[in-house]
Amino acid sequence: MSRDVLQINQGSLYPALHRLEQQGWLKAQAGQTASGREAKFYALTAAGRKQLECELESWDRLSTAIGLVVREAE
Amino acid sequence: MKRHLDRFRLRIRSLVAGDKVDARMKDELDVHIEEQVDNYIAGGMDPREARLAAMRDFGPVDRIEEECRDTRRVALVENLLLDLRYSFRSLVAQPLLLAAAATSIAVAIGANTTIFGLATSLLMVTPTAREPERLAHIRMRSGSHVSHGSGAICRERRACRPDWVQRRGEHQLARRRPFGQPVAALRHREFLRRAWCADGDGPRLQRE
Repeated sequence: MSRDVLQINQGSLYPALHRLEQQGWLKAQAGQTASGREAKFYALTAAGRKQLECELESWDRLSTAIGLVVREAE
Repeated sequence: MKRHLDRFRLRIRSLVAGDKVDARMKDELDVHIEEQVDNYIAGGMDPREARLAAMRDFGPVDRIEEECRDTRRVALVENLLLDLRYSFRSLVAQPLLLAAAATSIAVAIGANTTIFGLATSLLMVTPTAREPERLAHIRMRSGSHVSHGSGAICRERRACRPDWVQRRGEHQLARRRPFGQPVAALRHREFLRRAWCADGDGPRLQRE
């Protein structure tokens, strides 16, 4: 996803998922993987989708601002 | 609103069924690793190699489990319960220490209650009598002493109020205090003891 710029352990995904679930932004459902194992599948809740939009917007604003400042220095 | 309900439900579940939630979390991580192993084997890796590679990709399992646990935010309550259990057990293991601690706390509470009770009733409570500064303290010759409103004792004895009571009362009215001990009673105790004694048939003045 990050074209291998960011190296993150696969396992780090789970604390993040659990945190989002605890916040009520994700909902977990039991299901089966392609190989037939019992697994949890996460989906965004309505509140989660709203929060995502909020966060994306604020991230866009911040990264644009930082980009502008860095370019200015050239 | 629904979100807060969900959050509340999850907290409760983590508290009452923590072990189950924990086991399910471990299963979830296991499934991830197993799937990854399968992928590598399907890609032509030998099983042992595949498992090592999957574990490497996943990262430190114990730390990740711990981080997942921390997201539940019930560690505070759980640790509190553990601490309570631990202290209970160590107290039971040392009954002498328990007895000493309990006794000293009991003595301290008892002493404080007594002292503050006394201080409150002596210093802070407004007397309930209508004109507290006119109360008199009368000591009987036999050694017992009776605290009486001066009016009451006169009615009881069928005697009219003695002159000095009247005068003292008027005198005190001028220097009345807002609240506190009936001043007259303490101030004039000595005077009363000498001047006002009672024997069998009724009060009379004793000359010294």
